[in-house]
Amino acid sequence: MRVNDAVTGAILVVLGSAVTLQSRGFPDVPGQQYGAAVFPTVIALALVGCGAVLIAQGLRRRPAPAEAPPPGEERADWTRSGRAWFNLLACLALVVGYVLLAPVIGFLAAMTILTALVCLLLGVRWWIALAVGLAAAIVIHQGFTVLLRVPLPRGVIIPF
Amino acid sequence: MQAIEAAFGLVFQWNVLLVIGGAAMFGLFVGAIPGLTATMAIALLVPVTFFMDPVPAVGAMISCSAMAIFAGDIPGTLLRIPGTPASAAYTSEAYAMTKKGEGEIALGANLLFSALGGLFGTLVLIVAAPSLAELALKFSSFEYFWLALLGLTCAVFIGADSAVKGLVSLFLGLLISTIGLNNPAGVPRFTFDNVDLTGGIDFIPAMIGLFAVSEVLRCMVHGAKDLPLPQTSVGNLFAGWGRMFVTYWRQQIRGNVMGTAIGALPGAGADIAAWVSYATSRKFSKTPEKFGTGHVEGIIESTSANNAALAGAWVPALVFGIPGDSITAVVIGVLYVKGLNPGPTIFLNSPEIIYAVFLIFILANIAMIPLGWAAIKGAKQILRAPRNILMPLILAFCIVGAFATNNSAFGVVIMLVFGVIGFLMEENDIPIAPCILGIVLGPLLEENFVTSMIKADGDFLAFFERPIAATAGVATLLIWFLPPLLRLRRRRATNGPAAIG
Repeated sequence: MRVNDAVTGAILVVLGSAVTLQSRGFPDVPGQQYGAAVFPTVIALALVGCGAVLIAQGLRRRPAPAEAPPPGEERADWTRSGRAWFNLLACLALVVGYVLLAPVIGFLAAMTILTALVCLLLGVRWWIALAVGLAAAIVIHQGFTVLLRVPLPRGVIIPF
Repeated sequence: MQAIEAAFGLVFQWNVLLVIGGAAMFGLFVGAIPGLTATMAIALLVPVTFFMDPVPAVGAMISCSAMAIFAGDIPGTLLRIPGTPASAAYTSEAYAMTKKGEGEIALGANLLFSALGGLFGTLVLIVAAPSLAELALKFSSFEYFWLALLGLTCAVFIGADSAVKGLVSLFLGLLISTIGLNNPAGVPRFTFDNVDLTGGIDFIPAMIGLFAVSEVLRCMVHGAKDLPLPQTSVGNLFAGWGRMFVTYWRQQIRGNVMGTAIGALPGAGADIAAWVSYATSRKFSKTPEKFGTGHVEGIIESTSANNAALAGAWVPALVFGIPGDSITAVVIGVLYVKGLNPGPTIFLNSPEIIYAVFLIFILANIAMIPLGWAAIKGAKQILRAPRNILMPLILAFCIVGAFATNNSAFGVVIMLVFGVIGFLMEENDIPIAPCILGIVLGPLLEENFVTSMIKADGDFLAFFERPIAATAGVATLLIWFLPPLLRLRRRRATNGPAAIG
């Protein structure tokens, strides 16, 4: 999602200002000149400065320059493709869904579903997607719980 | 001597060697696949190494990164698509050789000079690190403040296309590093009364997000197109090794020295080393007109440089705890987790670990020759790996890795947020590496600034009173102010006559 530098700059200015305001509430350390607010404030002001420069640059060359893409890197404008937006948002939603679901249905089931569905989004045939999902979940589960002893989430419904 | 013996004992165990070998193959695979970078390989590897002893953990990262940087040359040569950014400098050149039917010479040169470059960098690391560490023992908060600042400065000013965008990335990273309770004043900052945020943003899930998840998201958007398959078959890789070694020894050594030096600069790594060396090679070549038409000279110099840079980057990382590039940034994070605080004291307290690191570097670069040969021979198979299955697997691994760093789902949330941030940054040409260095160096910078200020009672001049601090300080300020001043002078020089005429 390529936006004009001016937009990026504006976002940075807003972010920097918000951080500066928030930092003013940090308590001073008694007897010290440089309290908790100094460091974030300096960074925030620097961000505002960078934002201002980007706004200026963005406004100067308004139509974003069409740069030659580096060899082998597709840099097509995808923002007009419904499919691309769907894939992106679906992928994000799937990860969020995994975080919410894993404690309920357990790691194995949640990971199988996630991997298989992401495969489907990328156009893999359903039975291959399912096989990949299952295999990935089982291998990761074995690797992390048995070899590395990470307590992966166990489900309430399915205790794996 | 005892420490060296101990180091041999630590490294030559079957499980350690197994881990190093496995990591090497993983690195070759990830490096050879375009879009998956060496840093990403490390990001994916970290969660696994979390649960190992220090030596296998560090060994895995050394061999993985060395192999990945070499393997990036393979698709660059065969398909004109660099496998890692560090190979981008000479991709067109190497592909031109492939088209002339000299693909095996290019790949052979990549293999030989990558390994030799790595060994040279290791040699410098072995010689320089301990003596620098002795010097570093005398460092106080003033010197560390300037070193951290110098590192951040280099990250922005060397290599980034647009200094402003590099700065944006850096300041975002620094801002992220202020989140949480972990600051000199012990005040909760930007936690929004969230318990998870009081601990701060853990940098490993953040890095997995920035380097790996962002790539998955990019693939979701652009679709997982399979790569074109290389048409040429690779012949005898060892052909011409002797001749190249004799003809181009100057280029090789220059590349090695330049690469190690750039790698050792805090903040600049293998990518930049390759670009600079390629340009230098062309400048000093007797036949600059041959560059770009499939001439092996520039390839030798820059492939020598990028692998040498890898070891060079470990010098500031081990000696000062200041990362030379984004890979060593991760290594430093892992060392802290293992209770081995990088810095001069590590040379006194656990010299056997340092010798083990040296040993693994040597082993990895020697093992590169046979393993790299196998990877080149199997390149068709590696490049045939279906991306629409690879990407979901990477995502799955990212999630488990982010979870495993703290065994909490919050890590996965951080990973996802940073994945989106990284994706948006890359889409808008904002480099990611400065952000990571900002997250790692932010706390160091603030802590040393506050400590110094308490010591100096608020007197800024104290930052220039000690000789080393003053040198580092002046160097930093020069990098900040010299380029804009020079530009101003040049503009005045070009505008001046025009205005009169």
